[in-house]
Amino acid sequence: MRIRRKEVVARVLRALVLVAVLIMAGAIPKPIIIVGPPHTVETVNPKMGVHTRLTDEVEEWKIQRSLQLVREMGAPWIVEYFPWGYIEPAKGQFDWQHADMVVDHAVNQGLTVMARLDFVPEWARPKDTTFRYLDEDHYEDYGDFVYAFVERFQGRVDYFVIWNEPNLSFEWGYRPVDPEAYTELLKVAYRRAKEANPDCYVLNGGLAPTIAREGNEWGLSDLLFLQRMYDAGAKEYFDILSIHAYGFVYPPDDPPAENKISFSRVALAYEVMVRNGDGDKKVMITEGGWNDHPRWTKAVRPYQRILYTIQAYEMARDWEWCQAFVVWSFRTPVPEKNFRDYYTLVTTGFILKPIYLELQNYARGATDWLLEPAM
Amino acid sequence: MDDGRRQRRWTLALVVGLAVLSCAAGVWVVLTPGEPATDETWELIQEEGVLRIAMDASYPPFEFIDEEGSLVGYDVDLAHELGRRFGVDVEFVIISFDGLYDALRVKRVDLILSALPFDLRLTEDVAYSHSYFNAGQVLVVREEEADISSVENLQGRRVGVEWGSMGDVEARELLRRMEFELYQYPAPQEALAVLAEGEIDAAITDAVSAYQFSRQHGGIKITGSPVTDEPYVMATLPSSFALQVRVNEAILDLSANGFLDQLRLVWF
Repeated sequence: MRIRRKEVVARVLRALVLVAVLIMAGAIPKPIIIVGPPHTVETVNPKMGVHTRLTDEVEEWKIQRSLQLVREMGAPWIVEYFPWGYIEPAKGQFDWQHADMVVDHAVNQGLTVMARLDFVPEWARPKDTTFRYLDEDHYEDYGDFVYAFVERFQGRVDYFVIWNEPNLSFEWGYRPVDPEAYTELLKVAYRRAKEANPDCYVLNGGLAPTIAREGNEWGLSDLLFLQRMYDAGAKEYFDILSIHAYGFVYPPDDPPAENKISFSRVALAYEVMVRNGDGDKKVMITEGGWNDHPRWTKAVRPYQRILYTIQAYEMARDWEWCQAFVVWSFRTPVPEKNFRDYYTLVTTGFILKPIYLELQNYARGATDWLLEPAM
Repeated sequence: MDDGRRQRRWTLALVVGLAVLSCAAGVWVVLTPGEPATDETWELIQEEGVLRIAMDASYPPFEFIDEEGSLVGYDVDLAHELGRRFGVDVEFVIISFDGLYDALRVKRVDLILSALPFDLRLTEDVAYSHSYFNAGQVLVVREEEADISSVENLQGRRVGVEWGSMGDVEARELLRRMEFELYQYPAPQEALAVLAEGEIDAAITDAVSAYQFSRQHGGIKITGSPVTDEPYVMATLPSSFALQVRVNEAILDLSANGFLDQLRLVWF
């Protein structure tokens, strides 16, 4: 009888071991990502920034690696896109997992995050509209999201960009642009953000550089749009002006003009601020830079892109009213397979492009970038 | 026969009867012709006699504004050929690349034709056509080269790429299993120029750069199969099924009859 009982116990134990082995064999081991000790960014130019575009990056090690490379390059600022529709797929139901991951790694690398908040969830817009379409009936829903986001990231994120390029029709849901309606949206977002964290900074949606005149189907000049925002009472509803500054084929010091798109056009936007008694505020260039695709008509040669980008960082440092210049873009999760890949500093596969290495040298104090290469 | 057995038989008969009825209903539903599906986009194209095409006119040689201010390029000619086949005029709607898909979504245009790369992430949002051009990376050698006909022949050779390009990525992948000297250049044209001068044995660049260099300077040729595939496609709304069918038929036909090859010779 005693022997039988022992046999039963042994069989049960063997079965348990077998089950444990099977469970372990079936489980996919999770890669171990350690956030690690906090870092700081070392740079000669504290206004350097990059747009990290980690929105669709699902693998944590790639998020960490991207942000580590940003820090090692010497850029203390990042703009990251946090789509409302991803985070709040149903009213009041939030999924913070990815946003937390990105922010935690960014903060750990010593980076200051500017959070761009847009992308309308399906539940907040009519059928057959784009994710950039938001009508006034849902401004408070957006405000609720802004409140939730700002509250959650208090202490980790202090800068919030409300919408993106609202002066372009397609960024306004393919409707005629409407500075007054956008200003109403900004007012709602500002109020809710400050309710959640009175010390946060609210930025308007970065204005796209365009020379489109009043009545144009596709957009409205950033300068005209900004003036109409002021006319609609926007002055008290943003702390820092966000604007985009692409150089296209012009060097950064090319004189600005209302009918030309160039990097220094941003100075004209600041003039609009001054004219409206708002010159004490700072400007942040939340997107910008050059492209070096071999054939795109708005691109420059690779050495020019390097030179112009460094010169632009220098100009931003010299502009007292400019707080940061954020280059579009650091890396994309998948190759775009067209000219847009030539905006990046690092390939999808983490190959460092020459421009990354040169910007890193610049941030470490090198000064020989003023010499143009022979090519 | 007792009552229990009779009851079981009735139950069985009922079950069988219901099963037969269900099958018959299913067959009836499948075989009965319903309302013919309509493609509103195609109907509108026919009704108005206009095919609206979204294009970012900043990407030569596919679509760009020439010195006389005209919209020209490979895709422009292809669009006109589609219009001719469909018996309609073509209206080009010039939009920046970032806005192309949204323009289609809100039905501002019927079709995107703009050196558009196939994007696996958007296949639930739009319907992509067959590919009409492969813009992927190719292996390029000097015109007289006879020993290199594929990447497998690169062992021990000198290979040039554009630094950070997809060709660079492919070359680094190859270096995991073979040895060759890798030289990186700021742009594909530099790699091809050095190749033509004989300083390297092969280059991996995008197909368009290779075609263009060959046409402008000569001395090189594309060899073997493409190293990578980067298909250019057209996009319609998924609901525009009749338009999709016609676009795909046209692409297959234009490929078979040499029209697409002719276009390449005109523009690259």
